[in-house]
Amino acid sequence: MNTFIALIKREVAEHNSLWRVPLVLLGIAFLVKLSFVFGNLSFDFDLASRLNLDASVESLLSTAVGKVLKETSDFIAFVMYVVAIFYALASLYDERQDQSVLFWRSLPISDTETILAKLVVALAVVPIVVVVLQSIVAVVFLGTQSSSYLGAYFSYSLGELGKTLLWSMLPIISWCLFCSQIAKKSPLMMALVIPLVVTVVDWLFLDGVIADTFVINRFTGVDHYTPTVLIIGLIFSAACLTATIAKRGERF
Amino acid sequence: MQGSLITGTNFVAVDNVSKCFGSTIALDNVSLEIGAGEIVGLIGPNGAGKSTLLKAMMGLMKFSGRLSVFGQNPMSDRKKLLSKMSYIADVASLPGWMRVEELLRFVADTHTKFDIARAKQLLNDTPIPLSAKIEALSKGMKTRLHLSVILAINTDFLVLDEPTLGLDVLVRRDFQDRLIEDYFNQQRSILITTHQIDEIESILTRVLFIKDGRITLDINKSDLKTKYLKLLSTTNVVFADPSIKPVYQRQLPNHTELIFENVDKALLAEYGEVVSPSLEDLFVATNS
Repeated sequence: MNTFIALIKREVAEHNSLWRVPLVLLGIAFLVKLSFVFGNLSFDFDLASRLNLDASVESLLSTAVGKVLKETSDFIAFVMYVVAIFYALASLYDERQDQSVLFWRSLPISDTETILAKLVVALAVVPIVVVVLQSIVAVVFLGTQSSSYLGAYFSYSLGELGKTLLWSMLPIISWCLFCSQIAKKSPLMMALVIPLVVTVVDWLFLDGVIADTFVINRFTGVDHYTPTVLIIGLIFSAACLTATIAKRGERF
Repeated sequence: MQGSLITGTNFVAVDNVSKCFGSTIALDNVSLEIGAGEIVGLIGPNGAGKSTLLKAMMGLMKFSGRLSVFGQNPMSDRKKLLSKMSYIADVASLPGWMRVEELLRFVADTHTKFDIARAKQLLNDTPIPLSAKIEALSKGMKTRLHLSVILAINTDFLVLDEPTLGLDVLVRRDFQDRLIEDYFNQQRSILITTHQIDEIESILTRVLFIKDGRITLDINKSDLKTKYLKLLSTTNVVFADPSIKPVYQRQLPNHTELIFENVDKALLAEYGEVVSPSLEDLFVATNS
């Protein structure tokens, strides 16, 4: 357990975008809030009274502020997904580039533990950061009324977050980790070009099912998340991770 | 060696280990054992098989034959094996983005035998501050740091792969002195691979030459002096006894160097100056 926590700490310390980007997002939120209080931005209606009049879920999210806040929260999640993807693409490639993989592998840590720690960072630490950030931003703008807003927002967003993680992020991150382990020059290029080629070839010569299940469905959102797509994604992720672990084991 | 591998006193037991890459034979029936109180140099040119042997020992590569390190099968128990020993795969491999203190904490969290107080004590004797970023340290200091970390791991077996590659002579000498002072004793052993023979000659207790996948010489340093002799002669050397033949002969501008195996020193002294051959001499003699 010590080892696993140390591995997670190592990832967060090494890949500083994991905590710098959230800090920047928070900084922007505070700036906007300050502008409302002291500067030029202003609400053109009385927020507090709107919230007090009718605190039902739909109405909260449909207020102007509620809408802006919801967009902001979704934006935070989107930015952090991008951070997680770039983290996964860099994590195994960087340690090969600077040779530190030789040091990490000289310690009694299995490759499985290392890869799992990276997966946990991308799929557990990052989502936790997303939820915490969304909460702080809501508190910054709504103060005491934030709890009812957050209740309304999370009641639908957490389910979506979980689905996005399972249907989309797990296969994407697993694929990125695999590319990060085996790409000779650019994991990003590899991670983008291969799915692109698969999609184009499938569209041009086949019926598009492969492209749909493996690539398109991962980006089209919750409406297209069917159990079959989930199962294929899980198998694909397991294959990517197994191959990544095996490939890292071949490094001296 | 027959029967089961000896694991009681030997840290390493290699029994008829072979490895082929396609049609090239990287290791050819290698057998050896390493016990306590030895500093073993595994010496051979690039491509001789020393890193293949080390990879097999560290569980990084499949092979045929039997091999155990600390009684563990390196392929299936790699993690267990690494927890019982200290290992430097490459001295230029410490993560540059880490601070020294973070590095110590990481090793403490992942290696149960690591003594962080001991590591700090060893670092006290160096100009390396705990708050320093590793990438800001010079190459020599990085090596010193790596060694301090490894020496604070309380195990009995230390494996160093080409540890002094690319280091200048002062750092190299310091590195070796640290090994002897801070690590080596009768219960512990060190295995060092190198292709730069003269660099580590002085600290070894045992020499293993490897060439084309075979161990060509396995001898204790103390036996070297009695077994091998080097004759520096300015005249043409002809022995009355035809069975006395040099294993190696080299013509130099002012004299001839001849290396003999198991020949009486007094017999040779008639023909010129008799000295102990260097490892480099022996390496050339046994491998050509």
